[in-house]
Amino acid sequence: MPITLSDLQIEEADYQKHNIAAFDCTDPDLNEFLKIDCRVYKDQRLSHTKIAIYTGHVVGFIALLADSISLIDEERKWLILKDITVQQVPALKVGRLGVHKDFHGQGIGRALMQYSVAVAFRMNSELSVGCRFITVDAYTNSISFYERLGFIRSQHKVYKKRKYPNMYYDIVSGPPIG
Amino acid sequence: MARPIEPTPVLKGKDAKVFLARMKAAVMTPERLRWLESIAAESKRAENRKSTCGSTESCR
Repeated sequence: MPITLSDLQIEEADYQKHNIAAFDCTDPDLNEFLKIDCRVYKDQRLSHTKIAIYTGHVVGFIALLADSISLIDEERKWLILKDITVQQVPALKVGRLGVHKDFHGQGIGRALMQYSVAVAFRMNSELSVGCRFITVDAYTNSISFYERLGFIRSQHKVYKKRKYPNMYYDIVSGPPIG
Repeated sequence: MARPIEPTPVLKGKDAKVFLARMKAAVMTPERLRWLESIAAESKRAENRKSTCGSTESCR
């Protein structure tokens, strides 16, 4: 049985409360982000990192921040959407996502991505702040994971050449994550 | 220091057209709204669930 959002506790990362030093998802960059950088991002109001707890274990984390998807001027003729002109679409960015190595393949990454969609929806419904998309800069070995969730990868050569290709998910029309 | 969180690139060309075409075609159906409301409620339960921290070495 996969672990789902209903099995998890989600808490803001807290160096006093959570034994973050013991966390290991096997990726040095993700480990370093959680152990060192995320507190600076929080202090500077650049992102907030949430910890997933399962049966008392820190099993994963997700860092979220405000984002937008912009379109260049040349495409303005395409920016008419239901009689309004749109040049920038609000989004929620997944800055980092990591799962503890002992819990890989058990559904925690999927549950945390479902959580990100829920947060984007709650921005609209509870805070009255527009948010339409989830964006992520995917690790190359995670692209298929995000594609399975319904994320779309930009095909332009400029984006494809990026080490961490950008992908996006529409909270209105993306396939349900669950 | 971990690598910085990179800026989301500006969409252009075919990507922009595909993006807008998808947005134009998207409709918030009642089923979709129900799903979003259900995961929103689940996310709040996950945030409010009684902490089990302290029961393992992962949580102090």
